[in-house]
Amino acid sequence: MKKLIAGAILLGASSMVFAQPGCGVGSMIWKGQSGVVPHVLGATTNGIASQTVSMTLGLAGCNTNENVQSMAMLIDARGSAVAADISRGEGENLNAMAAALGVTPVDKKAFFELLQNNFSVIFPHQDTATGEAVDAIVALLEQNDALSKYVAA
Amino acid sequence: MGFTLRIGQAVLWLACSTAWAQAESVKLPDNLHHNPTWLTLGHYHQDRFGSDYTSQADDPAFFLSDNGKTSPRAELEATLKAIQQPGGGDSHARCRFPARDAWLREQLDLPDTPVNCSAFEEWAGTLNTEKVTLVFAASYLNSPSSMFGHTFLRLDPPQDDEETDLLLANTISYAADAAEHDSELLFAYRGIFGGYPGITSIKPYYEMIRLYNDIEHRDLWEYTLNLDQQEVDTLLAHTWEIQDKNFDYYFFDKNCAYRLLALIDAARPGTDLLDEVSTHAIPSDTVRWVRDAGLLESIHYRPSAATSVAHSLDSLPSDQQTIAAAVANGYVTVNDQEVRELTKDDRAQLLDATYDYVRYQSEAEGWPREHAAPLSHQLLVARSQIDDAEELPDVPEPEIRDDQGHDTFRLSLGSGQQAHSEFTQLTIRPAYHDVLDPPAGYRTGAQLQFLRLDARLYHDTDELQVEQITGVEIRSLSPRNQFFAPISWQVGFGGRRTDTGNDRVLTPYLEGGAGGSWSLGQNTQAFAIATADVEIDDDIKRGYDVAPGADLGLLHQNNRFSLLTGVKTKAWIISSQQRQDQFYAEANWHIGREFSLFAKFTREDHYDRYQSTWQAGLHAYF
Repeated sequence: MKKLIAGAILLGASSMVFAQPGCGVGSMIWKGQSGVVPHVLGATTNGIASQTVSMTLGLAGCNTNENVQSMAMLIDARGSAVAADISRGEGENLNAMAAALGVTPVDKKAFFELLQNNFSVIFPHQDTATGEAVDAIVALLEQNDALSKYVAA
Repeated sequence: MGFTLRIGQAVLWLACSTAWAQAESVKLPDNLHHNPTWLTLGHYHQDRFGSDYTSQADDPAFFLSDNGKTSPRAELEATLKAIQQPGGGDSHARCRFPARDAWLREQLDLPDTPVNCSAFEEWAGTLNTEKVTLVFAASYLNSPSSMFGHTFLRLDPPQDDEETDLLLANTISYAADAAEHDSELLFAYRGIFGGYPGITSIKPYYEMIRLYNDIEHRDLWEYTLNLDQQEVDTLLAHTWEIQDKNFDYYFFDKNCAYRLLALIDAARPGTDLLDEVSTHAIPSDTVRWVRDAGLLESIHYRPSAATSVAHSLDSLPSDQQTIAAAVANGYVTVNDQEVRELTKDDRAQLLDATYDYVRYQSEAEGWPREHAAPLSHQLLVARSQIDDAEELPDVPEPEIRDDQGHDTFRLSLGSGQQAHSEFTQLTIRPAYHDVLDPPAGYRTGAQLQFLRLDARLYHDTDELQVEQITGVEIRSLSPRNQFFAPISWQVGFGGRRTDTGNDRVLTPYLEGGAGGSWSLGQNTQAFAIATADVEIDDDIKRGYDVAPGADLGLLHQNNRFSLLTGVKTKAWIISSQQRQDQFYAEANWHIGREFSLFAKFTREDHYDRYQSTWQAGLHAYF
């Protein structure tokens, strides 16, 4: 009784991890219950393959630095956890951000401190969206002598 | 889109096959096409009747021979011919089937001439994999398709590479491509009967964490496999070979876990994990098979957001827990005195725990954004002003992992007495877990039974009777407290022997219930559930009967024994118009995680008469 059904598609890694998103705002850091994942039908079940990467993500001025885009995708996916790590000055998401930007172990502490001290600049209010936060982070790094090399376009 | 892709590949394949030149003939050992590695790479399985092999791939593009699906020999000969063709490029057989190419060259001592496979090399280079980790997302009772857990593979980059991080690592996950609007029931139906294509997706690990850990509150267990670099490369090469190819998705057997086992088998020939699958591949079982096959190198536990939050709140002193609840609900603000007068470390921990709680409630309980978002922001602004504080303690790794819990197949033998008739009872339960089974490695208060059969042989009449057939039965008892207020619920259907006053008749039934549960100490909870039952049978006066009711009881679970006791009442209102009241007590003594001794007793008042039933016996878990 096996029906022949359409294929298994293995998405090319390069197209997923380093997507070229369009210019836009991205989702809010502190999302509400906006129907992203209704509980009864878990999108992650053995289950349903879901479109989870925000395709409207982008940066004002469309920064084309690939590393910044990777960081942006991470922030878009786990914004509220990333914000928490930034406010604490440590955490797995900060480590991942550092890795995405290629920050060397020597510079990591300064990087984390810079972000923690400027929390309110990166996240000015509760409706901050990914794009704004990323732009603010990039601006902070550009103004910092030691760290600006990581966001050179 | 998938269909067009297949046509395109089929056309390409046909075009290539008509342009073959004569290959040099190489002596093929007689039985090479029956070599287990070849069979694994071709996904060949022995036919049930006869000694032929058929491939599970349903796509002509997977085969180089017209008879490839049913003939490993034809496919081997066609592959050998194709890989010896001169040239290269992405459409050459050597680049479409790099794993087959490497194996044949090794087996037949063919020269390893270099070939230009730019698409494959770029893909493998981007994935940059040194180790492969099997990640198991623990079961999630609230969604039938998630109840048995889920497994996917994570491709770990080299440890010493500073530019990568495990959160950014890529994962391979198979899932059914269900249409967005399919309800759970439709998914269950279509998934079981092969109504969905299987989709493989590659996503960064942080996406999986977001979906499983954060949103679905499922703990993740990361089992790093001890595959060496060559085996890892073979796994990737074979993944490349099966991309874009049809493989049917079947919920019970050819599911997410199954496809991953096939990949691991291809990486290390001789492992034969697929051999363990008979009728079903439960993800937690597949982890056991991988462990028993000696494939594990290291294990890492990643608690879900729910587990972490509960633990964080629990580790605060109780007066601070009250403050946390007050802040979360808006009675106290972040700048109020109660918060400001705490020490730096206490304040940091309070803010962290409260923030995690508010985020959890926002996701899980749908707290309105107008309340949760500004509060989240305030909490973090306050937290960012505290430097170098002591962190909240990590969630300790559970002593018993999910894969170390009792085996899922249970066989029980017991004897007892119903009214005054003695009987011997045999129970067969293919899956999964009962609240009285050894609790280690399973969710507290969670019960999931599938296709359970209880059969009795009565001694006086020598009559064999089915006592109950349970199709599915699910129960979730979760204690409420000041932070979390889950609903405890249950649902089940099947056939059971019911008292009609004159006789005991096997009747189809459907039952459900909802209510609450409260913790009475470490391993004990008291619950109160409002229930509803429906039974349908010709032997019932009006053909069916309905009963609202209640179930009040106590559940205690620990590694040495578990106990469930309480009272149930059902008011049958349509046909019999009788109330059925029952006192029940059931206890299991656990002998490790392989056996339990059980004893149960019920005393029932129905049709104005009292009846006692008791039973005792042994459960064995396989």
